[in-house]
Amino acid sequence: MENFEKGLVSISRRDWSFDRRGERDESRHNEKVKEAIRDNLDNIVSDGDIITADPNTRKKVKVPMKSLELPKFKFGDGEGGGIGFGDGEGDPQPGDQMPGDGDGEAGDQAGEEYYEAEFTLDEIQQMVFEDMGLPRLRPKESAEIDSENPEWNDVRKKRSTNNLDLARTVMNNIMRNAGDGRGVVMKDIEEQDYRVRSWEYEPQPENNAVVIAMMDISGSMSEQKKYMARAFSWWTVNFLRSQYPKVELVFVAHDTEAYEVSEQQFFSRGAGGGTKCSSANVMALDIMDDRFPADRYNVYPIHFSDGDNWGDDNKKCIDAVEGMMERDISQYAYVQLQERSSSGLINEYKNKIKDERMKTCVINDKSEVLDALKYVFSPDE
Amino acid sequence: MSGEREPFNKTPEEYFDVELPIDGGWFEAPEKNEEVDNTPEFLTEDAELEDALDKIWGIASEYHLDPFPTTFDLAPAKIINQIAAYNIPNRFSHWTFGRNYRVQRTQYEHGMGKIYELVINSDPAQAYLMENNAPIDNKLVMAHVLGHTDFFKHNKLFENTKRDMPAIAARSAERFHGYEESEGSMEVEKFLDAVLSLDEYSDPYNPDRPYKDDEIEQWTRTAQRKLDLENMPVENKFADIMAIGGVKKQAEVRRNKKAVVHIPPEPDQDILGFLRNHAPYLEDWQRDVIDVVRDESNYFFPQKRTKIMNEGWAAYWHKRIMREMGTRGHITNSEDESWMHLHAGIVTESGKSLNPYHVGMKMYEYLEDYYNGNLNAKETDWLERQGKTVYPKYDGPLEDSPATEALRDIMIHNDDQSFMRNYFDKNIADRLHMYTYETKTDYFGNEYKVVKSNGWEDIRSQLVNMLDNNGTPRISVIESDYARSSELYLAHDFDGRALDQDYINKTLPYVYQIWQKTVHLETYDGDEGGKLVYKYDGHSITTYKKS
Repeated sequence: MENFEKGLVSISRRDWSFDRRGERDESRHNEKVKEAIRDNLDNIVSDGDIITADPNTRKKVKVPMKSLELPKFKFGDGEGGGIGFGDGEGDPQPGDQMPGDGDGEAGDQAGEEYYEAEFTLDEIQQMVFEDMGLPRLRPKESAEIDSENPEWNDVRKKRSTNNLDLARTVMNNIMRNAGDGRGVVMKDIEEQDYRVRSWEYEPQPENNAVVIAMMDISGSMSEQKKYMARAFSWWTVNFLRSQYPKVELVFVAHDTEAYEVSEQQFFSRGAGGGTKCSSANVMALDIMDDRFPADRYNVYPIHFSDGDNWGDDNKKCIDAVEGMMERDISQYAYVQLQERSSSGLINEYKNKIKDERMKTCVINDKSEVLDALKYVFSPDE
Repeated sequence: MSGEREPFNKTPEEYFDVELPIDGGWFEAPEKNEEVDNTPEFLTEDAELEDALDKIWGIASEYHLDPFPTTFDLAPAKIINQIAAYNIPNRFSHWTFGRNYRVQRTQYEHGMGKIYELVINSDPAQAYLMENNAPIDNKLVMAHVLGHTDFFKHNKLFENTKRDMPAIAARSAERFHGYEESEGSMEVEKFLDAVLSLDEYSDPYNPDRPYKDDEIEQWTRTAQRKLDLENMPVENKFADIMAIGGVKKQAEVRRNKKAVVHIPPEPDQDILGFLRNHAPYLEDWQRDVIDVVRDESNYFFPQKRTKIMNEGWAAYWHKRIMREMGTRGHITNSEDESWMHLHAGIVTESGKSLNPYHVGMKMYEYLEDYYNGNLNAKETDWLERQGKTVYPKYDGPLEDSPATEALRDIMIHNDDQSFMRNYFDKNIADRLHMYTYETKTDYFGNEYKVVKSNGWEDIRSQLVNMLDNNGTPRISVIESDYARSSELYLAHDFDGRALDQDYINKTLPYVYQIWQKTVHLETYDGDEGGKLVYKYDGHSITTYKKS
């Protein structure tokens, strides 16, 4: 071992257990990934893979992002070229397609580090739903008493199984002993010392709410417009289901006539003919009167259309919406898909209905869905 | 599953974009690795490794390797992954290292590749061995590492590297920690982001750049000398040299005009050094951060410039040392098989990618055959037709061969680029079955790759270009008082390759963040020709043309 003795080489072991630098910086990196996702949320929200996902899925959603790299000055990709290595058997000749090119698309993307952040739908929803809420949600008188929420707010002397309130029982015993001159001690617990916890059903006013989603499926609603409306509705449905599990949902599709449809039909309904927006609004009014009176429900109608509507039908819409306002709905939202130079409906609404419960907005591009969502569902300050 | 992973399964130019791990070196498992639980008998194992290391060192010396004294630490995978992510143990904290760590860790955990070898360029050199590796794997790694520490000690590019960098880096990390406490960790991170985005722009040939006042004084002296010389009557111009006695007299006469120093006097590629000295609003801690990043970047520079040579050298020698270990009966037959299997994985060709272990080792092996007269008939024939020297056949032991001496000389005096420029020829191109390709775009905008040439000169020039300046665009500071408003003006030295616009848009704001006044970057307009300048004023990027 002469080379060891000369100090030229050595082998050692030491205790590394306190070195956690890697973990620390990794978690900072992961935070930055989340920040980046948050910044990119408007694109993620309208991502086709996500809005077709089953909202109840536990499956992870992959969000591709152009990794978290530190930008540097670098050459563009246009100057592509490099060096290949053959295997010695029939080496490639000039003009040949490069061997192995084309298989494995991802390989061609190399150079750019793609980072696939994995999130559960839940996590993405949490980010999307941050600071969203139902505006003007008020307690409404409720016919049903919710029996799911017992309040443990009473203590009784009767002994029952399992619910013994030990602290109070002991306290009673000590007090009784002290009162009887036996000193401040715990002994001889008797039935009269027992205290058990009991409960009451407290009638609670419920925040009953219903969202009436109306979608224009007339011929002028292109696939792209419908896609945006569906993306919006998909998030709306998930938002309500996750944050307000008891909210009821009603779906209405319309062209010149309105139909109440199932959720599934609402998301898949094909194109129809002409347009009469009033048909949906009138139907919404009827549904309210029949099943969801505003004195018992917070009502949130929301209408998606491209605004391509007849002038005199606009008037009927105004009437219907005003009717809803009079019935004390919580909010009416009109979401118009794509700006139109001569759009009647959105302007009519803006001019005629001066009520803070009226919300109108335009979505021109799918990246605007998130903003629209946050606008429509902005909670009370 | 192949143990290949980036950067070696990328195409060469991509690979050279990658921040290289320190040494270097590390290579990956060729295949699955059986995890050996050795804790109970680690003492016997250590004794076995010590015995092998002693013999490996001995054989290396016989081959005239002269490595730094080298310490091997047996460490768990977690620590190896971590050091590889930071490139220096105890380096300062930054999320980019955290990202590297995550990548290393995930790959290791998924069995997609593990780091075998990690060595720090220091004196004495510090190397790490993975605890769970089979002893024979670690024996090969030790032989490999001695190749690196020999290279670190002798290659000319490493002449000025700070061999105490691990200690320096640890002290810097301590100070940074203090800045995080006094300035807030977000402040420090933000500033580090900006500085690290420019870390290629340092000057390894001027590591101890003078600080601001000294530098300006130096520049002023030079400018004054130049001005005086210009104002001097022609017959007196060489008075300084010609007539020693007349010098004093001349000096008195010429003090009539005062030189104005242009900052910088010449285009300055050491952007970090320039910013440290001349960015107007920096605080002391910020100058220190720039200094540290610049210093570390200088330290890594030679390693980036010698990736192929260094890995090739280590692979070339570990193969010979291990072979000798077998011949002398220091390792068992089954160990012999094991290391050859691992070796094959390390030097495997990988299609589109340039594997520095493979290319480097093959280059040295070709040169060994060349100097020892062991080329085949076809190769000799080509050399003769080129009018090149053909050496006589040598049959003796390797350590005394002409090749061993010649290879050492080549190892000492080259970097990757000159290695290729000087020693790459048709024979090595054929041995490696190399060709160049270009990327084209079809009618639908899909990219595809077409073999362009298998002519060795084309391949060589492609290699030399690829290796130029580590694949980093050359950008210099031209003006620090542009438009007489203290604006910073940078210029890209255009060599036919355009800059990525997207990355200009993202990086220029970082320069601004340090300079804190409007910054300009001049480059070449690929579409229309002429000079195009990008400008960032703290709010938005704009471009303008310049004649």
